[in-house]
Amino acid sequence: MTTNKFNIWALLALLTITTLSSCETDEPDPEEGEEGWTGYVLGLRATEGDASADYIVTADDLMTGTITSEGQGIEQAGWSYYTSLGDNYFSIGYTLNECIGYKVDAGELYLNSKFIFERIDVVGELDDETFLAIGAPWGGGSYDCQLQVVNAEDVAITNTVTHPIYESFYFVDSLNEEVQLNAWPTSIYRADDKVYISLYPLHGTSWETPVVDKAFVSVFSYPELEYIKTFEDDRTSPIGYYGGQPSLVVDDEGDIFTISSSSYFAGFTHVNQPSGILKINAGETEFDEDYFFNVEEDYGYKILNAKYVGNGKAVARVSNADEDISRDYQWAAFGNYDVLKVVIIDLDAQTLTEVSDIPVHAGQYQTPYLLEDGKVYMSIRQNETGEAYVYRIDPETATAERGAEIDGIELQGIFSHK
Amino acid sequence: MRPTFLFVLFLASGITAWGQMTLGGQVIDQSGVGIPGITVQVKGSSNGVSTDVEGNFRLKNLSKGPMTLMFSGIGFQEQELAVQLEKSSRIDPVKLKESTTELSAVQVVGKTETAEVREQPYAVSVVDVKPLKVQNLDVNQVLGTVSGVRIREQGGLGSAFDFSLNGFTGKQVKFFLDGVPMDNFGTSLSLNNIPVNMISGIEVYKGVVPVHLGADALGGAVNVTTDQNVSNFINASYSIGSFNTHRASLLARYTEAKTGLTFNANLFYNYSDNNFRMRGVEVPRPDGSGKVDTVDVDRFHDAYVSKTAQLEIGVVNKPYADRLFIGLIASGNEKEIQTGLNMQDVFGEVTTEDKVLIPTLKYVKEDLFIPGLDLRAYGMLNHREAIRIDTSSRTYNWYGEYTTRINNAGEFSYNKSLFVFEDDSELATANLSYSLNEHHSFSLNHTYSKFTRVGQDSMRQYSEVPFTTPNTIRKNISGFAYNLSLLDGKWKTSFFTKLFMMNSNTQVENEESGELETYEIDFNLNGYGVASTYFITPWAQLKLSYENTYRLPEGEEMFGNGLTVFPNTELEPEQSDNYNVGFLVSKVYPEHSIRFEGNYLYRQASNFIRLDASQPRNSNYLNQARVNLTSYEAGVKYTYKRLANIGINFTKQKNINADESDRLYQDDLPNQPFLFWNASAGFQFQNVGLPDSKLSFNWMTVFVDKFYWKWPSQGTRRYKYDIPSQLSHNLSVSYSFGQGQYNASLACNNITNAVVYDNFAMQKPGRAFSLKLSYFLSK
Repeated sequence: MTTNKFNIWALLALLTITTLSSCETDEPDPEEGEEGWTGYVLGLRATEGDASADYIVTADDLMTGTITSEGQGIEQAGWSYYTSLGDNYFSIGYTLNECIGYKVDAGELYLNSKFIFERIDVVGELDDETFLAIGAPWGGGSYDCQLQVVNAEDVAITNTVTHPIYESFYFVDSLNEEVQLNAWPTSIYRADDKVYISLYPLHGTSWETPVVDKAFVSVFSYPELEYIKTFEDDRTSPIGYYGGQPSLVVDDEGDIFTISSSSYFAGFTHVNQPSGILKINAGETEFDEDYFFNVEEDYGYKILNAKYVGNGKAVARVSNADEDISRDYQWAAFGNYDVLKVVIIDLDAQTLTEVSDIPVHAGQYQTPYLLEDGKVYMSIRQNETGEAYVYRIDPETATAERGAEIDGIELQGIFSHK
Repeated sequence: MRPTFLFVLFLASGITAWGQMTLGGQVIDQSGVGIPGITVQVKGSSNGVSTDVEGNFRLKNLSKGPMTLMFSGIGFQEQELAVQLEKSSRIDPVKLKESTTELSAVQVVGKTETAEVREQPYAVSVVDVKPLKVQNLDVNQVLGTVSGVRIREQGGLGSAFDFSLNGFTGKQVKFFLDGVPMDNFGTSLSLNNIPVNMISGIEVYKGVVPVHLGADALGGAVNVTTDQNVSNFINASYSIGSFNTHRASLLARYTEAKTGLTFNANLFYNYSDNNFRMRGVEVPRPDGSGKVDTVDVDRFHDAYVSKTAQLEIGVVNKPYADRLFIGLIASGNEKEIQTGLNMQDVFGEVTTEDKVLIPTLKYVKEDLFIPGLDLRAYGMLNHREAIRIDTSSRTYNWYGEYTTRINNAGEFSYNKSLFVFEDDSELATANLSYSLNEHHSFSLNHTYSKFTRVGQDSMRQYSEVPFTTPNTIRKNISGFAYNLSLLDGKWKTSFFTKLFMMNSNTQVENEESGELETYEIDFNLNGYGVASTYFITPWAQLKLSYENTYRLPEGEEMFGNGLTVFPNTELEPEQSDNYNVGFLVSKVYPEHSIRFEGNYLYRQASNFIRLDASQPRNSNYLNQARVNLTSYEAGVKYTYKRLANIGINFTKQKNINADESDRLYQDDLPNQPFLFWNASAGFQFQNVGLPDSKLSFNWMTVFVDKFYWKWPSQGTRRYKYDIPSQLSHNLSVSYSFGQGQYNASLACNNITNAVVYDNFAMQKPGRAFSLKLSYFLSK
């Protein structure tokens, strides 16, 4: 009898072990994870060779250790843009037209839901529940954009408005033919009943940018998303550039500062205005005629994108205007060259301070900035060394501290999870 | 290179006639009909051959003087014949008496041709296709039963397939048809288009490829040999199957008895709608939410049609040539493209068209000038016109419904594309072999090839179109081998060296300016190796080989296919050190026979060329800096009389990134199956119903373990894209009568209707039936 009993127990134990060991070990186990986990959700571009190796990963800390996709993180089908809203994190496929929403449970990411889209080129928050995802026409021949309202929790498009961002650009080409240019959306900001969308004129098939003598912002109504107007200013060049770069900087008063790069590095084929910052006062639909921070003339830099951090200050990426001089280096700010610096901009005082702790480094698509407790986190990679790190920037002192090593190319999304 | 080649040719012809002689003949039955499969052996030696379908045989490496030939075979009385050999010649037909003791106690001593190849020092698997001919199979299915071989097809008839052999994939494995490289035949004439009943044997070389095949096959080679011995025949076959699949072939040969003038005509026609069911695909809801429903639908834009005509005229058995043929292959196909590399992007209008025209020249002469000196030469030109059409502004879903896009992209490409290109290639190969005596033989091979592509895209006014100016690859590959046979043929060794030369002149897009620049590369590389085999007992054989070799990138690898495979004109030759140990046991008992084959392969490769399929839509070839590949494979086959056989093949591979500077050092290569097996069983019954008939049942099960689309070490396993493990069963029933003249075969593939995949979970057909009828007449 005893022997039999022993055998049954042994069998049970064996069964348990077998069952346990055959279980997927990577299921998020709420018992093991920390309830109320706080940390970071990151879009990691891990390798370049296999161009699609993007992973969305979590990290407890951005200042120590290594951020890696080794054995962790969720594989993405291809290159992705990343955005977040509340506790929802999104990977927006660049090569596969799928937007996947993730959530975090006790420190573990899991797939919430997904939707399929035709194009998404730039995203911006509309309210606590929705963001606007604009798809721009690729390849010419069409001028309509898709303004898609995405519900973050449902991970679904709730409304699509198809309308050009602006359709009045004409350009006489070398064959003396009048060519209509596309308006390519670059940044989105909603204030009350208006949605501001910055843009740049672009020849759809050749990617030439012959019209660069003005800055443009289009205004749509909210929530109807009806086109209201486009306003412009000839003191500087178009605002923003390809890849959803942050180019509308909104301060504590709700004033919008706009970033005009006038930069070949940013992908422009023509440049005839200084790079600088214009201002749209809160609620207005015109540029402030009294404000222009001529960054290029005052400091010798071209400003490419920026993030507002408080106290009238912004953190920005800039290129050296002495180097950014010809279309031979078109697109240089997209990763192949170490050409960018990080600076602190005082928007009111119109001053610029270089953050000398950060080396001259490579640019990236989308350019994520994370603002947390008055500090800004950025992904900094140097082609020269092939290494990438997180840097934490203190805008008050214009200093930076090197943090976690990035095992891969760069971070394409940096979000804090509370 | 050419002067060297000519010099050696001169040298070889200068050697005096020490060479060995050959003796040919025919074995016939009492009614004068040739008997296949009779063993002809020189008494007191291991020198023996088996007769072909017509009863013909040819003994090589004979010495001058008297000898006794022994003829033996199942169902016939053994017979001896004394011969006095003065020069290479052919004896009168040998008539055998039928034995009264049927089908028993036959000890096979002489080797069949199949066995001969199997016993070369190289690691080679030989598929004896004779038993397969009555079945309704295509070549890929036959190859799929070889250990270490895995065929990955992307869909139905006409879809691209990727052949992997011990971790080497795609172009790393070369295909030959009767020793002629098939690289340039174009997509219309692929292995799958060759009817199995035309094939006499398939040799699968793993690792070291013999010099006589001549090419730079690094991972191995598959040589399909077709029946050359039948002088007059007609073979017509037609098969109809699921998904509106029709395949017809007509093969005919006529030899004028008096003049020896021979005509070959081969016609192939293949058509399929490929509208097989896709299960669990995602279709966006019509409400515009972007949310998807998971549904089962039929493919709607995947039809394929191909037509091929091959005509040849030539002479056989003339003093100046054993075989001299000129020929022309004309072939064309049209294919609708349903998806990219994944199932989410559905296309409704993307199509490809290909046309090729290939003049060919073949020359074979054995005992050229002196006995034992054999020359084989082959030349071809290939002109291909290809069109890739991606001009639609519509976005299709799996229901075949569409919306019109806001952007001007194509369905597949970022910009609409109507890419028309022309490939012109040249190939010349010559192989000279010389048997000095039964111990020493030599072979020398040279292959010259040139591949040029020029193309234009009328839809692209602004972006640079690759291939607007011709891109060219030129290659010269020379090989020399010395074969040594010792201990009465028990120990055979081959020493070889190969010289690889490549020059390519291509257009590469400058990353900054986007403009095309000329890019020229030149390589001069030297490889070498040794392969040896030893018979421990007459039925147990050990094989060892080592090779340091190179593989030059192919046209398609460098230039892409114009649509789904992007060009990479900066590809470099792949180098590797290959080690191989093999063990072969082939034991024949009166009523049973058992064969066991085990192989271990280890390869250290640098600049390993692999297809990077990590993008959801496109792929391209790249060089992986360092890769170590290990493969274990084993196969066992048991046959009982001629009634039943059962076999299993098992393969396990490990392909590791060996580049220490890479962050993915020691990770397994992505998107490669690493564990697979197949099992098969067959039963044959003689004289069921009609006299001289055969009824056979064949079962095959194929298993492939799960593997990852991307690097396995990255990301949590739970959310990794994987290709799930798959198990499929195929069954066929065949009936032939009139001594094999009439054949009917019914096959069911994937009986259980399992969901089977490839690549990025790309589904392959579910349960499919096909019926094949064929008629074969020869004399």
